[in-house]
Amino acid sequence: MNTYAYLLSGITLLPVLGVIILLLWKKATKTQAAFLGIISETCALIIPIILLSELRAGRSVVFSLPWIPNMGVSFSLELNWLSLVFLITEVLVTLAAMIYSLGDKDGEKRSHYYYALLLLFSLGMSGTTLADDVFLFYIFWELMLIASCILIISWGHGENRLRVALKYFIITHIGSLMVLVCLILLYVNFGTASLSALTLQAATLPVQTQVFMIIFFLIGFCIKMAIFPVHLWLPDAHTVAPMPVTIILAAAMLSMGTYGVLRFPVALFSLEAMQPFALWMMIAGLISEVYGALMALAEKDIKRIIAYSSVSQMGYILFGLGSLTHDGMVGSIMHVIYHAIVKALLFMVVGILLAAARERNIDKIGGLAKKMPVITVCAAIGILGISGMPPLGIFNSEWMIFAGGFDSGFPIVLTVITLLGSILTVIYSLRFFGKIFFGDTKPEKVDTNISKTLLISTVAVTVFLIIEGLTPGPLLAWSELGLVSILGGLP
Amino acid sequence: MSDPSSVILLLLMGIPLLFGSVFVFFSQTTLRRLFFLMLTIQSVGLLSLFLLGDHDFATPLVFFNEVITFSISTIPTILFILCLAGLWLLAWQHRLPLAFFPARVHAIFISVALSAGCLAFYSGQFMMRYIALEVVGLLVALTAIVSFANLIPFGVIFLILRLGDLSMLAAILILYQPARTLDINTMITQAALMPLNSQAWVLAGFLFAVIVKVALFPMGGWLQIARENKQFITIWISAILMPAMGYYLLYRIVPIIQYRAAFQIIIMALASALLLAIMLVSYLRVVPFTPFMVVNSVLSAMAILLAAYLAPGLLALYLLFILSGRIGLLYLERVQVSLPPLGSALLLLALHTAFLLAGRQQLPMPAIIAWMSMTVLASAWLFVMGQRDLTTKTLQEVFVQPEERMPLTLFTYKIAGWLYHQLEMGIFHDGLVKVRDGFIQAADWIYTNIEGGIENTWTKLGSGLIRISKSALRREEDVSNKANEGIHQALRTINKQEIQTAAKEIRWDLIWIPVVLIVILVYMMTG
Repeated sequence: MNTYAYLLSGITLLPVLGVIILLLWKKATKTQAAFLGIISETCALIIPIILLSELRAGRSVVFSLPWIPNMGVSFSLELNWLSLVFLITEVLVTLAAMIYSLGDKDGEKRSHYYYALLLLFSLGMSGTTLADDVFLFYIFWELMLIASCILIISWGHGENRLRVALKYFIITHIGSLMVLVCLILLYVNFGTASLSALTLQAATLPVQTQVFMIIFFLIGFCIKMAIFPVHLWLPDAHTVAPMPVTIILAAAMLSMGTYGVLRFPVALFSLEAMQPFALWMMIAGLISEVYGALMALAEKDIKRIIAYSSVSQMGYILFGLGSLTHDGMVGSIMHVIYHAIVKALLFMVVGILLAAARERNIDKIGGLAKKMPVITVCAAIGILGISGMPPLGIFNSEWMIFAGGFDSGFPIVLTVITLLGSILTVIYSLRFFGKIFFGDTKPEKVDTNISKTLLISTVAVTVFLIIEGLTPGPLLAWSELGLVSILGGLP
Repeated sequence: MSDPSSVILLLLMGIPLLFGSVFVFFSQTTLRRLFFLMLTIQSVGLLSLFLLGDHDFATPLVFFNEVITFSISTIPTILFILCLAGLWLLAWQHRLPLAFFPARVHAIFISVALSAGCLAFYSGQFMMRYIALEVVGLLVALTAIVSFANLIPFGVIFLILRLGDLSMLAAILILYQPARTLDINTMITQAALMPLNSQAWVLAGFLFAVIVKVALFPMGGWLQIARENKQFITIWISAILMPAMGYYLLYRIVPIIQYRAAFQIIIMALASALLLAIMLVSYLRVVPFTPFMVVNSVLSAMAILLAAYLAPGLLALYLLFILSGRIGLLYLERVQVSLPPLGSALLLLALHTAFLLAGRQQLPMPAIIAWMSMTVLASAWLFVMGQRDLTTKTLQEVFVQPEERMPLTLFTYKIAGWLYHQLEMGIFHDGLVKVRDGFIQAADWIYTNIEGGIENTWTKLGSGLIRISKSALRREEDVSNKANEGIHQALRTINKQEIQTAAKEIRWDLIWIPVVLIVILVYMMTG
């Protein structure tokens, strides 16, 4: 193993170190704990950027230590283009959420535990993207669930947080178990837990086994993606969780489902094996897109509106993945990233609105445009972003997803409906923006004295969203390379 | 990229953005000077482009692995020059009362629109043009939000324009599949090789976008709303620039229309139907359209009709003519001068006849018949419409009581009266009444279901969606509550069992079981 390999291990070890320090440093104030978390995440962000040179040279970075040798299980991490895209997204979102949390009122009590858990949550996601061993993957996969559940139970809002956390745990855990069944099957059949080795062999499995595993993988990961009708955990969990956790849940954790679909059913089995599921994935994506948008339209709680929009946006991603075409899949990967940025921004705006107006009902908030001009502009950009307005990022990914749909060989009308269905996004976005910022109903009291940390982090994400949209080149290249790294290219 | 045309074009795109960004820092008086300076630079630049002639060039910039290219040609340059002339007219009109001069934000909108206009007219890629159209559409909607301080006009405009954009996007993406490039020329060429089904989708997508962008009946509601914002010259974006982009799009898709004879016939029939519908609706005063809107709709429908058969060169000339007419009408409307009805009708007839004569070689007989009959109808309609008081009088009042009319020539008046008495009241009285009733019903239907009802449709659609959503939400809440109850029940059971287990005594006699299990586990792990 070379220096780069050791450096790679730092992505998982540094947060662990941060967690240990935080657990021991019981007198740490919120700011101190947050800074420790921010430093740890910054390091986790710098490391993959350093490792980019290796990837550019055509070498993936691998770190491997034997763990349970007799079972062939090892602590193996691998950084390739696909994991890089998801890793950077996840770390960036966590970093933004941690900076945002400095101005947020959540996590004031037992701050060291709060930030330790946030680090563990992030570690779970980083590990999931980097793991090259199926059991290690599963451990990290469950770590993010456990950490987020504890965060919701301990720092969530409302009396029903325990129930919500349990619902979140049970539903997503069902998905995790379905994934686990497949992982065990793979291990039993090939006697290795190495994901790289399995990728080369899995296509040799009998067709029935492949079909069974694809179904289980897809359902398992779709639960994580919150695709209709297995999305029930999402609106409650997003609503109850403290705002930084909501940001991470919506912007980063949902993308782990997409990563799972790409890394397992798509990468392990041949495209021919996936073909019978393509249409169903596209239809499920379309239904989720429309249903999520309708729910967002009907919902009155401003946090839940944005939560439901995630269901809708994940629908686009599944649609693109289901097309099994180069454009559709690259578009889906890009959509994950753009969605993460937009969703982080919108939840940050919602957090500020909740702090300022102390009201969640959209019918009781209005006319904030004059009182909060900067937030209005940020929200407007977020709304235009999620509506797929060029040159903001989601436009880039959406058109690629639609192009994939047209290229999929399925009836054109399916993609046309999906494309026209995006008008629903415009409708609920306009309703959200119009009512809150231009509506007639004024809340009784608006505290416009917004914390500068909240404001700066929100503006920073807004600027980042604009820059990302204007310069899609690097992300496109990374996404294409990511797809090549798991599939060797698509027509 | 170092040749003069490309440098000028890039400057034309960059300079308005530069001006737009400095508008923020200056007072109203300086802003006014800067605004005119920007217009002058743009005008000189565009004229230079026109003089330098056609030229294609590539930039070092890349969009989705494709080099961004530009194509400078005469038709878009003239269209853009015409647009700029319209802006000059409107800006000049506001030169005296400073208060009427565009506020800072409107000046910024116009500068962004100028840049987007360059992109729309000169980009060599469809996607760039799409982006430009989206940006201009957003500017139209933003103008409304700034002017009305209300989200509803913004929402309606944005939604209608977005529908057009999305249909265009669908068409572009279907074309993208065989072409695997966003280059307009390649895409259009590749479209010839596509199956009929795909071609039909492409054509439908583009045509719908054109109908929306040029604000043609029944998708012109957005312009009607945008035009209510009367005191700002930003109306230029919605009433001139956006339709000009739509006309140019029509010009570019002519080859697709003419790939198949069936498309030509369908387009001709569609254009004729739209034309008849708008004439009928405005004639029977079902919809309170302004004459500007109606005349533009009629001319745009005529353009689509021509696009089915005419060679691109002649079509371009026609498009330039109707864009000039559009600008002229807008200006006249704003200075509150109206053209004499007979004069306008004859002008319309003469110009259209001239176009027919010029293009007779290219037009097959059905197209000539359709074109001529539509021209005669449109001219007659323009004449009749000109006679009428659009606000209070009924059709009968207009012709039966000539003395109450606005000052008109007696000759015109008598002809109108003769037409009315001899044809409508005399020969075809009974039949025509029935026909008229039928027309009214048809117009009512069109109003309710298409243009006039578009707002209702949105409202109904919105209410329907909310109803469905609420019902689904209720169901979701039910499921959620049941899940919660289940969890609660499970928790209680677990709790109860825990208490029961805790109450039991530990069976030390069975301690060997876990010990054996641990030993087995350790043995398995260590081999």
